[in-house]
Amino acid sequence: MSSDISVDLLIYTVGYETRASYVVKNILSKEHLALRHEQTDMFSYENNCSYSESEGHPMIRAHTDSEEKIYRKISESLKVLERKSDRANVIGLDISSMQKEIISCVISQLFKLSEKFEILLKIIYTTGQYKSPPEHSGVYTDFHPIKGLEGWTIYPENPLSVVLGLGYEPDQAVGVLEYFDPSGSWAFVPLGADDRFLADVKEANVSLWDFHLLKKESFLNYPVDQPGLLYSEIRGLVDVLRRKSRVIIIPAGPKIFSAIAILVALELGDEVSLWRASSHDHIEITDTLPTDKLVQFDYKFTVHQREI
Amino acid sequence: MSTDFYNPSMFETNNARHKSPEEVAVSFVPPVDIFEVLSTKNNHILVGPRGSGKTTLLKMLTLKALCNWPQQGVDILPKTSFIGIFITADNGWQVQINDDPEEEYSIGYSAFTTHVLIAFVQALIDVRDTSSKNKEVLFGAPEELNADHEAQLVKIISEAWELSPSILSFDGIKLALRRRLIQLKDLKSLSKNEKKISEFLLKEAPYVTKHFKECISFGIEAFEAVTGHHGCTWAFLFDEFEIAPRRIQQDVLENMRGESDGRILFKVALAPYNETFIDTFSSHQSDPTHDYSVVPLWHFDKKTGAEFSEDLIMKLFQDEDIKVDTLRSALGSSVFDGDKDTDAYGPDGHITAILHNLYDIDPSFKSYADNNGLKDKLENWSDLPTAQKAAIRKIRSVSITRNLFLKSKTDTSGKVTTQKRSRKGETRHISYSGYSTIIELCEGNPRALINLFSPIARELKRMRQSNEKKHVPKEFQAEKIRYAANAFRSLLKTREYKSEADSPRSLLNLIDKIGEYFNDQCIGEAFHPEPKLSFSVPSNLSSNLTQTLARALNSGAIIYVPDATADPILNSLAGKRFRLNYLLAASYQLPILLNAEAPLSSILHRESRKTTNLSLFDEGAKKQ
Repeated sequence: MSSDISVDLLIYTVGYETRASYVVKNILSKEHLALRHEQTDMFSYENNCSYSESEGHPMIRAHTDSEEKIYRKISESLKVLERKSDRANVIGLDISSMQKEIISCVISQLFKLSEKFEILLKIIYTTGQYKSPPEHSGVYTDFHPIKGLEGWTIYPENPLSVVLGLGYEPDQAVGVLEYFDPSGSWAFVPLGADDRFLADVKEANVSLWDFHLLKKESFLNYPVDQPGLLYSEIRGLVDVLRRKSRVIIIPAGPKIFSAIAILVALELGDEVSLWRASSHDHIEITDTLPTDKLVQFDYKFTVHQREI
Repeated sequence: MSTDFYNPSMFETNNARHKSPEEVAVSFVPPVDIFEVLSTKNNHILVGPRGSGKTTLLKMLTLKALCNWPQQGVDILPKTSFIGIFITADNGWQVQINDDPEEEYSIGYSAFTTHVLIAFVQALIDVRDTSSKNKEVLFGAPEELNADHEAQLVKIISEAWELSPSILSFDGIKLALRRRLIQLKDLKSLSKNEKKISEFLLKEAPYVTKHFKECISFGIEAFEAVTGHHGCTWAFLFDEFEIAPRRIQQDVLENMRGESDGRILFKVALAPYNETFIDTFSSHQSDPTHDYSVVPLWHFDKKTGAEFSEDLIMKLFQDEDIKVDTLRSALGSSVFDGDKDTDAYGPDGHITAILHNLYDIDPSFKSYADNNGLKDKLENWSDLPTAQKAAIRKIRSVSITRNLFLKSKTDTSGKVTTQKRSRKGETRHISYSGYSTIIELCEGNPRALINLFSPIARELKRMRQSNEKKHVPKEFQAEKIRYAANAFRSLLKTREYKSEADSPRSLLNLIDKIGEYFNDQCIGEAFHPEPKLSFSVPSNLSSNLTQTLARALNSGAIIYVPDATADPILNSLAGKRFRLNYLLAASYQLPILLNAEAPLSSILHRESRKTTNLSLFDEGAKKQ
């Protein structure tokens, strides 16, 4: 183990990216739950599968198994852990290679389980090594609320605010503004260790800057390896906005933005909803290699934390 | 609600949705004739693309806005004599109002009804808070709506709407309605495993049977009984109505056609292409018994939007404390302008000079000019019959365009041809600056006008403060045009172009295809005195293309050009004629003209020909 992070249960992805098995190999965990992607038989997929099987980690299918199954599996592990300890159950969630929908599903199930078990969630990830963004062509975007986080307003007459995470998808943010026509918009800009990453994000969202679609003050930079700072920024902003408007968060870019947006949406209640922007494109799938840096973010679920 | 934390930007500046009626009233510039029409006691369907001012117009029909509209509201109020109930909607909460048409009762339908009832209670609050003077105008009596009236009214309405407010006040009912929305949310979770949703809802929430119109009719009757104000009309002002559950859309649209409660009016805002409207109205087109009028909020002809555009720009200048004699003095002249100059076509006229220059560089134009004796005609301009003058005037814009964007080229065999100039970035857009071209680019669309002219107004203010007497530099105008056009193209790039093609395509791909065709018509090798600058849609339009064109229309990328006798509202796209939004003219180097149409099939099936300068962004727009 190259890190001193230790958890009771680690939930991680078995996928094709080389970085998918980095966290599981480098932290200590009593129990494991592997969420296996299917139909991604490329790059390090075989190796990652073999590793999980050889370690005897329980494995479920990330996309085809029901939410209830994920809930049940985690619940079973927690029951075992509860018997052994009287402190909070520490659950590690490795989001490095996890898809947003799966992150949302797992965190939502943990949220439900937090009514029965005391849970400390550790979101863990390794930042990826820099790679050029994939070539995009003929992209268009559509929008859907993320299941379970659709929100429900009792102030439908309130204006709409949009909080965006920016990523590589060209003009996706412009599409968001066009679709929702919000009264106010804020964009979170990821900053990586490699400056080329920011240049690529700006290139993909050039119109936001160059055509002044957002005011300068509406761009909020966040370092991808400082999740605590990101949490306080998103939570602080959304908390203010929801008092005067309905808030829609649209995560794109690094996974940590999605994970934290999900936590904030769950925490702050129904006037906040989470939507997914899906770009339709022919994108060449590429591998992502891990850096040797592990980042963690601790979040304590408390019973009835969610505001109504 | 205070919204001072909202910073205006390209998308927010003219978004009336978050503004209070009082704020909307302060900056309101009424579109010529339209607002007068809307304030009459009739049903109306406002049809317009994004940014065409639908929300502003509907919000201006609320009591609070009219009473706070400096000067003019007082004049309009007696004419309206109705109390507006403003009902907003947006894509953000469409999930909440999803209606299941298979079920007799649904949570989405009931949530929408609850929203309408909240809006009605807000209208009652507006009446309560309106000054006695304005109440007298509305009701013919200055009587106050006092606390006793309010409590009595709340009691009666609550009973009928099956509410139990803790406080007998309008705010108390609003609170009870919000509680109902919370209950509906809980029911949504509980009903997930229910097979018979309607039965479940009837048992758990009997109010789901309530129809918004019946509830409001009862509310009006109670209002009349309690206050003694009889005969008042109430107008439902439905914004973004296409987002409402389809059943409610059908109910309202049907209501507008047939017999209805005389105390209730409907004014609904719709995007230009709306399937519910088409389904409801297609068999009743042009029926003289219609009890509604359609108010189009777009201008297929550049002249019709000119007056409103100029009024709005003048208001923007006025808000910046800038006094200008004329817009031409503030913006300078456009290269496309000057047709009305008496000597423009004379021997030393500037249009004559352009035509002569084009004659020298463009063999195709030279051939046309020689065949038509153009040089002689220009020399004898003052004696020329009117018809011949008109024929020359007709080729003016396309000739100016060719002169701007073509240069002569001699090939290896010594043959002289034309080549498209590589005019990129601001250089190309400068051609579209100046009065009145830059205004025409905005299509009379308030949002486009405000977005383009707000920075120009600020620049002019800065110049005047520095004692610079000149007009706003063309380069500055060109930069703003480029921003606006490219932002618009970015939007189109994110919408789907539905087609049978394997690869995903965006709406911009379709618009580019149309634009390239028009580009070739105007500055291709052959000179066309009347280039095709609009297109007609075939009758056998595929469903995919229908959806794509509907998107293009609703986003304002294409503009419907109705025949003189046609209804301004579309009942189908088939056989109809459209043109591109003028804001895209610079992207494709086109004159701002409404010319004859080409069949869309010819455009789409044309061999793609590489044209110059057609990239998503102009150079200079991209930064590393």
